[in-house]
Amino acid sequence: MAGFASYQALVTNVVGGLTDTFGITKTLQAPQGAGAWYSSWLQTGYPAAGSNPASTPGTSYVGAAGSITFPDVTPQRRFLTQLALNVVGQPMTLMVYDRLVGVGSVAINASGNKTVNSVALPRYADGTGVQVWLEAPSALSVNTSTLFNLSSYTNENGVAGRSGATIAPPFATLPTGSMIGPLPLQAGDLGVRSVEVGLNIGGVIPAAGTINVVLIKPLAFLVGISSPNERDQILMTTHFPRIYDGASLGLAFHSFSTTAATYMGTLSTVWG
Amino acid sequence: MGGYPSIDSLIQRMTVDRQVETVHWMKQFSAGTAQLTATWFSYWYGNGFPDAGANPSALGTTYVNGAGAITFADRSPSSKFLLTFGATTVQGGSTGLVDRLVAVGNVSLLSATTLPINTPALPRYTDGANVQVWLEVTTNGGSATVNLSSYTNQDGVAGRIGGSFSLSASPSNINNAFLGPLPLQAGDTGVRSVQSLQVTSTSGVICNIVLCRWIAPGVANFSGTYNERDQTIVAPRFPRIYDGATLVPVHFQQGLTNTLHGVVQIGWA
Repeated sequence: MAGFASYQALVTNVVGGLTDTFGITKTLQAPQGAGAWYSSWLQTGYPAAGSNPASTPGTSYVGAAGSITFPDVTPQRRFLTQLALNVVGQPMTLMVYDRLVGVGSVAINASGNKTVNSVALPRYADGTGVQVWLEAPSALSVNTSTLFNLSSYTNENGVAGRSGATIAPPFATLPTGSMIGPLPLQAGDLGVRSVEVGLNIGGVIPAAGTINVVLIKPLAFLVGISSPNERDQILMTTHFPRIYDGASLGLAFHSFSTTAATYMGTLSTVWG
Repeated sequence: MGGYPSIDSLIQRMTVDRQVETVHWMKQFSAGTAQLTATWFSYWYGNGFPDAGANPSALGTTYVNGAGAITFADRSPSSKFLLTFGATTVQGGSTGLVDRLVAVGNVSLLSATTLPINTPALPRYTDGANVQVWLEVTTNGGSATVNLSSYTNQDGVAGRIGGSFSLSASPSNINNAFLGPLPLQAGDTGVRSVQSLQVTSTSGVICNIVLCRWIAPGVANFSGTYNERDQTIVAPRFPRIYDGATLVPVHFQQGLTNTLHGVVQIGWA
């Protein structure tokens, strides 16, 4: 029986060494202001920097270089048990997510629907809870009136041709790794299985640039401040997401100010 | 017996039986939408993940897994419970979660009169216990004064009259402001239905009359920082999430131009 029949069973496995802890260190790219998301995928540190995804149909991430990865444990199950974070520079919110698929080199310098045709999800195959974000592969100049929306995607029920509302960048200058999202879905939808000829660019069109379309499954959030902050995911929040075999965990942060910062921490799991 | 006989049972249900669902949500208002500090805002009309909700009918709308809200699959005869709720915001404030039960739309406060409301029957919490009445501004206006001039309370007693509620100029002239709860008659603890609303001081405000029930009280946020509240062990409230629940984030704003990101996790047993 995979999983834990009791808290004692979970503790027994932790004490018994069926646990992995991953140390994290990343330097934040300088934010443009408060309230924007930034991916640490391309930032050096620990884990090492990842690389931009391939162009359509993109890259499927399974234990990918650049992510936080763990050995497979099937038929047992792995769960996130602990997060800790210490930030020097500015307070922030950290998002831990499972990076599923990325499609790179999607041009944003012309209006209209762009071909994404994302490859099949390697995990969360039905798409429930899977979100679509945009990630700047390099520094970009856009406009706060540039409008992005999903114009054709397949939802968690396998219904194609879905479209969502628009979203605009929070700032006109986007450093490498800037994230915009999650892209809104059509009313009633709860996830994305794939994106087809499905990223629409409207509003004020940027003069140049490409963007990564990234499908992710958020797992947990944690606030980071200048003092160590640790959270038990079992008893403090009853929120211990499953970490599937092949998971490629990425990190993103929600900015508080323009101050450059470095963060470090740990992420622990247990399996049973 | 629905529910968890022990913490161990909760852990088994979550890790062995995988009787858990998590929604990572985001809600934001369209660019240029004006906001205010020091007042509650409903994110019903915010787009995102899930997308925006629609206007309720002037004859009343009943919400059962309403599009635009955070919803979960029916699990009866098992019982669903909120396990954790968290949010991060661009600006600081406090983020809570309500179950949107029914609403009557397009209610104009332009005339000093008694407005027929006649809300539909509640789809959940049918006795009305701890069900509140809020005004959700859809067209801005100035200050006004209203009161519930006829409602049915949690005991089924009709013809109840609530105290005056003043809409001050600032919140009232902002769309999506969530004003309330409207005062009840002394001794009452909830509303089963609203028959009429008295407008004693008028303005150009048009609003929805929303009957809702708090699920998770506000988690405090500083700008850009996340806060999550466990509902089982740290703060053992275990709010029940009934089949058909239509969960909507609400936010007490301390700044402008807000985007909310958060998590709602439920389990069932």
